[in-house]
Amino acid sequence: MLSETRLQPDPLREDTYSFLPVWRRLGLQLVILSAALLLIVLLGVFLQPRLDAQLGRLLSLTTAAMPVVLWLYASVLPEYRVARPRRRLIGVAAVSALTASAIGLPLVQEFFRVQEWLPLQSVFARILGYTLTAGAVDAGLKFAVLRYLIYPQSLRVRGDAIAYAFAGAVGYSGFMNIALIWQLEPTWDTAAIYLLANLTIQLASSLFIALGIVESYFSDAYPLVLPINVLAAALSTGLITALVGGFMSGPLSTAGNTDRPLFAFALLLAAIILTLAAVYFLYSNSERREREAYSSQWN
Amino acid sequence: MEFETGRSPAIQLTPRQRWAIAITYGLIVLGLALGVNLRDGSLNLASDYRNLEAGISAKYPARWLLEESGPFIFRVRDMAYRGFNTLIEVSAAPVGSDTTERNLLDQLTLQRSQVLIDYSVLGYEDYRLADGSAAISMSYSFVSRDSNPFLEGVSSIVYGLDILTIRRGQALIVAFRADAAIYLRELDTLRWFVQNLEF
Amino acid sequence: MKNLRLSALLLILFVSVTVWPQGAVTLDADRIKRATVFIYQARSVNNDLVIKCVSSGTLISADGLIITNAHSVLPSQQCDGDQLIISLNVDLSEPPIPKYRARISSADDGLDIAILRITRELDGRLIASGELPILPFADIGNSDVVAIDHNLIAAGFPDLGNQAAAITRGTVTAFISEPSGPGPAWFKTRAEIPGTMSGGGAYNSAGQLIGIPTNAPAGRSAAASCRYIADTNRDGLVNSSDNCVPTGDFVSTIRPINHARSLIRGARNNLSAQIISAPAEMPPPLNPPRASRLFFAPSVSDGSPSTVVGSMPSNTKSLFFFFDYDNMTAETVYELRVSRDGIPDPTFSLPPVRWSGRENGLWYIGSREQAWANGAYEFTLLFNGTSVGSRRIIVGGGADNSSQFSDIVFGTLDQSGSLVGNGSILPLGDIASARFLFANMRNGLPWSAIWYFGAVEVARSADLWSDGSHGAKVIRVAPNGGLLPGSYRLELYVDGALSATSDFFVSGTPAGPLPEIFTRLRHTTADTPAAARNAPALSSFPTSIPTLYALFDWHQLAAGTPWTLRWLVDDQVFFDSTNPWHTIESGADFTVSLANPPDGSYKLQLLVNRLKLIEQEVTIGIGQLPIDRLARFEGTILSGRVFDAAAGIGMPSITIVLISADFTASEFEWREDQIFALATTDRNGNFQFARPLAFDTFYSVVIEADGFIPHAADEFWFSADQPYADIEIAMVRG
Repeated sequence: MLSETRLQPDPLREDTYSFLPVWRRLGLQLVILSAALLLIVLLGVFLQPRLDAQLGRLLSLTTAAMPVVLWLYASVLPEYRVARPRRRLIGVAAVSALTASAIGLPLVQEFFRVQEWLPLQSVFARILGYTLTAGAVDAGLKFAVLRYLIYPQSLRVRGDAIAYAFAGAVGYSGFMNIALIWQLEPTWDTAAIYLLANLTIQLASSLFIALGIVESYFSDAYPLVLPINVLAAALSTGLITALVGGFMSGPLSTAGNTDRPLFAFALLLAAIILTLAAVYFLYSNSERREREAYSSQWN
Repeated sequence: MEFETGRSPAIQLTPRQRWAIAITYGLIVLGLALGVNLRDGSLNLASDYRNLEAGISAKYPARWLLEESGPFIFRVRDMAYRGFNTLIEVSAAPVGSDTTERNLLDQLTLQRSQVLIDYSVLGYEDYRLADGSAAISMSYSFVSRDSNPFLEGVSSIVYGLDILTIRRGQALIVAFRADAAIYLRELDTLRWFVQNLEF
Repeated sequence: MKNLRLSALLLILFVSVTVWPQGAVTLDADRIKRATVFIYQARSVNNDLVIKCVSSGTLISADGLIITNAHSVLPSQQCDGDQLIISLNVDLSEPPIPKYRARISSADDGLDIAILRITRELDGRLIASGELPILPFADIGNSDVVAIDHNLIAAGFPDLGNQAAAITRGTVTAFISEPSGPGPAWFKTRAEIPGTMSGGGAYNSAGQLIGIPTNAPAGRSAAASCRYIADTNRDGLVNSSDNCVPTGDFVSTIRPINHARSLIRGARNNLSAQIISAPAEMPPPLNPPRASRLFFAPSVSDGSPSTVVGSMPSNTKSLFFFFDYDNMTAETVYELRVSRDGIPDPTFSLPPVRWSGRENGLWYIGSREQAWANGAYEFTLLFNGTSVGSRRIIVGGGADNSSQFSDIVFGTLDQSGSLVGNGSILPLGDIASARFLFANMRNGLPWSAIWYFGAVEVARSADLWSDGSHGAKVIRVAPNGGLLPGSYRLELYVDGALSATSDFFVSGTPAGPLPEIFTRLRHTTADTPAAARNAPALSSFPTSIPTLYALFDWHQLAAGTPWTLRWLVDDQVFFDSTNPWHTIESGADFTVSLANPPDGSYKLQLLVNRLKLIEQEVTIGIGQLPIDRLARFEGTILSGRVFDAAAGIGMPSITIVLISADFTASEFEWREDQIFALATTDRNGNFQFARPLAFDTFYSVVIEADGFIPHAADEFWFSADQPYADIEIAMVRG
């Protein structure tokens, strides 16, 4: 029996060492990014540096490039050192960025004109509105990208879905960040908040999509599981987009008001942690169930 | 410690997976449709205006500021727009048996040229009201500037359109003004307003 | 402890409100500067506006009333402009910026005060009623309570519009009295006030306007106080061939604001009285102005000297310099130079100012309640820069025990031999009597009395004194043909030296204690003055009558007799005009009018030589002036900046809605009647509510802008110690 085991190694174990692990790298990147962006925000809040507009924009663009560079370094390059790399990461990121540029942003800004009516609504209406507009657009586009680029041909393990979804989030938010810096010309510290917000929104949305794909593809789950996850993705976009503005905007009084970047930062960190925790829990659960099913089948 | 399980790529999707994808697309389309509906509902949300004394009822965009004190019956302004606040103003003017619509429009031109910067009439056109009756419209432009002398007011080029009709011995003038940058888009609001105007 | 420090630091970093402390000097100075304007008088020449004269001015009402000197805005030989351009202090650290055009609402060229009203935009567009933004303005104080050594702040523009508004601090060093009005005619100060600040404001330490720094700019020939600033003749050069803008020398005289109250009140209520029956203005005198009969008096009674003195004892606190004048006009510049022991004495000197008297008469200039140091004083009088006479007086030594007459009053004798009358106006008759006091007289001392009718001597008596040393004496005159209407004068001499003199007028017919000069005073309304003469007299009128007419008959009023038409509304004078009588001696239906009078109680008074002879009151509408909600500058002026939190830059064209205290933000339904005030940000995101927020009143604020999270805040209130609040509002993209 033992020899048989050696002759026929556990395919799961073999695959495990062939694929680049996803979660730890994802978590590490988020920690590094959050720390760097927090540093910039604190710099802005407490030292209030007066930067030349050109320098500010250059720093903002450099900061916007950070998630992409970090992702290339920590998630893409290592792929080429493992036996079975995920070859379509850059493609997914690039196509996601292009869809954001060609469809996502124009649809939200020009067609839905969310900036004209949504900010003036109540919090609940804003959540609903952003969910059904920006959330639906973003989730739909990112799902479509994953569907046509990696689903199912590039899905070998659950981690693939997470890795590609992360790539989609990096690409999509990367373009959104550049557009934001170009359109709003934010100060460096405010840019850091908005960059984190975009990344959080896209990452949360992508992770839910990935979870849906994992469940649907690897567990052959009930057909509603994937759409529910995509819905959750859209909802997460609506929720974070609607709340981050409210958290950022301080209450008005006779003393005036100021923006509250630290409040917004805390909200975004909480959103990242909660999303990661929720998705990881469901992901692990799904994986555990399958491993248990596989083990029972194997034994 | 990260632990991953794997399986061979499936070439063919199961019916469940196909259904899942289809439902997902359907859900996205449904969501977008609801989004469009929500957008239209918000952008076209209307408030009602009734003035029994003047015999006028109208709908105007919600959250526009309603004003009734001034040389007009009522006026509504979009205070959220960052620039010249788009406005629609309804006023009445007495007419004599010899008064023509052009007389009234020329009178408006003379008055406005005294108070508006660079007021210039662009042209006259016939206008058909919602009930099919004829009216005349006059388009014009001027420069708007905040008059507070202690602030560095921003000048805006404003396009305007007056729709004038004479009924029951008085002229009803619907004046519409919007920032030149959004004038064409805002014309839809005017058309909608005129369609819902009863007098 | 560290946490505490960090909290304090965070608090400082996060709270970006600036509330200006009340009572701080900077607060008053800023407010004063905001109300200060720079005025160009310009003339249209070949489509160009050529600057003719400049002056400072002060906004005195939120709806654009400005007070300034008349000499720089009224058309004159020196300032022949036809446009008035008003520059405002948009930025207190920057020179003023031309913003509006104004017209003269009312003016008194003698007092050298004009009230302007902003009526047009700079480009000439008419400003519709109520369309002018509410402007900052100065509170008007009471100049009668100003005392010597009180602090004084003068505000204005120190040059030809190249610098920001400036304030100069000083004290009131002296009062100067003239016959031109009640109270001091001038305050003197040693504060260094540049000539272009003439017309600006003089404030007390509470920031209230108490006077107008006033000088008379020197003529065009005076190069030192005249600037060539533009190529007005288009010869490619800016030189002495171009138009010269007079700037004047340093200002040391301040016209007390109380002299301007009636003008201000009239302008504020748009009350424009017109004397319809008066003939066209008399031609200006051809001969140069001149002065004669210079003398001193220790006090003044009803415009006349109590006695005539040649010296004053030590500790003198009151001294007046009298002179007769002739051929004067409102454009005549007069000046008094006083020196003590050969050294110029700026305290009692009067720098060049516009003439505020009539064409001819008796004038005085002097001071009360101010110590005159011992010494030999020389008073030199100058008209248009030319000396027209001088007189010396010694102050010092013991009390004056010389023989003297004083305190002449005129009247008629009743049957018991007592003098009756009002002291200065007598009705037509045969005999005029005068009573005077005498002191330190000795029997046998030669004395004489000379009576004049106009400039012609009509009676003279010379005798030896026989009435003892002290007492009162009555003398009389009975001219051939009786007392004709006109001006009379009595001069009393002791031992050949003038000791007392006084003038009186003969007018009207005898009727009790006062002569009957004006009769049948009545009010009516009509379309034309001619129709008014036949319209029935009324005592109450409905609201919105086009014109209120007042008519009266007059009797035996000689040409040249100074008469006063005074009109009051709600017991406050808004028109007070004293002129020589210029029409026939007797007549009917003299007509004056008041165009578009608002509701109120109107009282018309007619006076001769300061003596009220007749008055009548009528009511219009509710009989009370409408309440001017902008009349008081009380409340918090809220200004601030709205900025994009992302970019950190100001957001233009954002509307800030201040909801009235009756509604909360959640109750706000975007209706105009719920709004207290609106403000819109400028290109830098700055805004200012034109209307002050009442203290301790709860307002709500709503700010909505496409693309941004809206603000809605209740309990937006400021206490009475926050007259200004400047807030920063961050807008966050939604």
